[in-house]
Amino acid sequence: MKSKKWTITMLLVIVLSLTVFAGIMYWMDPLLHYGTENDTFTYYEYGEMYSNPGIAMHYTYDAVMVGTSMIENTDVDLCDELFGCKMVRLPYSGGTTYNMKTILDVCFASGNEIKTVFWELDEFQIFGSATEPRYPLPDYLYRMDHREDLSYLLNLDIFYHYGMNNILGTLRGEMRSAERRGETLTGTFGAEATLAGYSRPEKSASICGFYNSALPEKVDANLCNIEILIQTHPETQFVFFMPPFSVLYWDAEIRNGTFESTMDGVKYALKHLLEYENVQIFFFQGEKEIITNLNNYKDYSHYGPWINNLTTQYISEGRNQVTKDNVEQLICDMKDTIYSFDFELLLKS
Amino acid sequence: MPCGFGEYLLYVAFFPKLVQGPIAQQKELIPQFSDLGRKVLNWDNVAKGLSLFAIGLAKKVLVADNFGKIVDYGFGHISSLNSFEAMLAVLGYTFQIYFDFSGYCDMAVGIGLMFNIELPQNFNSPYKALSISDFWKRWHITLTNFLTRYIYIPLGGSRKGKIRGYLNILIVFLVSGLWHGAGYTFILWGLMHGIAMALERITKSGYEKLPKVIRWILTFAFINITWVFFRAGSVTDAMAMLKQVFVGGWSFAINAELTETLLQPTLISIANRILGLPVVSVFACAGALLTVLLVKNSTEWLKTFKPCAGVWVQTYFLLILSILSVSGVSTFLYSNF
Repeated sequence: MKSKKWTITMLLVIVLSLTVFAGIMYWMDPLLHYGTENDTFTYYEYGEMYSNPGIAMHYTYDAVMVGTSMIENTDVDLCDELFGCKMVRLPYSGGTTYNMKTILDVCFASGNEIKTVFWELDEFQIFGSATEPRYPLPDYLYRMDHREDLSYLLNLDIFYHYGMNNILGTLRGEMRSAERRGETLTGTFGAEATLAGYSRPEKSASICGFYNSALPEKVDANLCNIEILIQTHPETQFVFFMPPFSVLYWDAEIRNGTFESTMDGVKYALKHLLEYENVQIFFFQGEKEIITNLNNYKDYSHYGPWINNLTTQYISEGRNQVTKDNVEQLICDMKDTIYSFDFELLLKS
Repeated sequence: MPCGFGEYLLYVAFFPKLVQGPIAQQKELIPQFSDLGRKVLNWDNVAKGLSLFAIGLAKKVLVADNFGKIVDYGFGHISSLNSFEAMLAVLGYTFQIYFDFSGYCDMAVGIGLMFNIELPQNFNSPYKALSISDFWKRWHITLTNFLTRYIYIPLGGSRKGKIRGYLNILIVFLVSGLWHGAGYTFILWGLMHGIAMALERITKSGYEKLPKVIRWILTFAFINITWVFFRAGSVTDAMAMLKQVFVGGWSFAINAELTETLLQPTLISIANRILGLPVVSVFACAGALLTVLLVKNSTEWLKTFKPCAGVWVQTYFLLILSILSVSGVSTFLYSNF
């Protein structure tokens, strides 16, 4: 074969192959980068980092719920019913405020008129990184301007892990949706499993303070991620809720010597957020009935879907709402609940 | 060598070699830039260059980056590795750095060829080396030449007596270590190579009497150990990694988090379905070792290049698979939060 013919056919066939591949990816659009589900294919609930931007860009909704794995069992239909909205749920397991801001920016740019943002806010967000996602994000899926689409269209791994799944599901005749509306956080719930998975830290000799540490800067940076959204979208109601971790989570905090600083940090953050008119906050962390019953949990922080339903119900009824008047008392009560709890007895049992 | 301003600019900014080399000397490139005969399209060189570029891209994307997943995890979780994982991380880095760097050089040489510019050879099957001096004649050849020309020889080389010769070797490798990075790990890496080179000179006659297999094992083991220092974030980490190989506890198993990471690339994911990940890992290391030992290196391969159907198919698949794997699903799917 002559070199010229060899090279020209190579380049032509390469370009043709890549075009065909990109065309199939565009048509199937396994991660909904270009629109909602194509009727030809079955779609699945794929990894949050990969499927959330497509849902945020192309679904029709007027309410969004963001948060960590704590909302992975939130019943979206129940939310729609109780709050009279059309909601999408966009969780990021272990997500930071950077994750939440990134996806909410996509939501607000999607053209949907968002009336309410439900934001599960926990200590991992308040004290976590404000500048990094929990895991590196596939940025090309989060861009509305399609400048980096070749990373999506010419991506064998996305075709194999997601596209092939769609094709096989279609051939099997399955009818599914890419949206997560029900329970997705699985595991064995119960006191036995929760206690078995709990590794009690050694008691720290030092107690960490909040104001005499670098924590206020961290909290400020995270508040900045949150506040910029609140300020930019005054027409949207932001409903924050702090999830009820089990008493074991707080036992670990006490043992690590960080409980007091965490509580101070939470109070600091809540007071800041309460300054905004378009903000409501609900606090479930001191809800004794829930947090002391380990049968509600599968580990020290993750609770069962019935607790998601309960907190949803409470929010709709306005229970556990934090105001400027009661924030100090709520934190004080929470600390009393934890300090008066007999951890030794629980762990002996 | 005198040259025009345009040629000088082209020499310093010639993009295929700009980032990582090969370190081409002025006298090697300027005459080629001036040669009018090279300013025409040469389909033979374009075909050769394209084919070599495909090999380099595949080395980088399909081989080095996948070994890199094991390596990144391993060096990020040293204390929790079992012996099997620690060995994978150590060997993985040995292969990652070779396939990554030589892949880059293949791409650079390939692109150069498409423009009728011949860049110098930078690798000559370095893991076939039977001694450390042999290794440095095969690994990053242009750097070795550069350091020899601009440091070793001006210091006097071996002309000023044995002791001074050994000292000069140590200085060259110390500079080489610093050249790679300003850290104790790099300095130690350079010093270890320098000491090994000096020792090799002292014991040359005895060492060369050893059977080839023994010499290869000693050399390859030494290179593996020194690469650990090159990769580790600190000397403590490097020592911990080497210790983990022996005391991590034997288990033919791979951590769940690493498994998630390794299953993202399609090719590994498919192989895993057939063989299981631990077996795939062993096959990958064995395959890489056999490749670097038995398969013709890029320069040898280029000499016998013919634009035939077999090479066409090989180049096509390497290019397609590499291009489609560049983006990947690089983020963690796994989370235990």
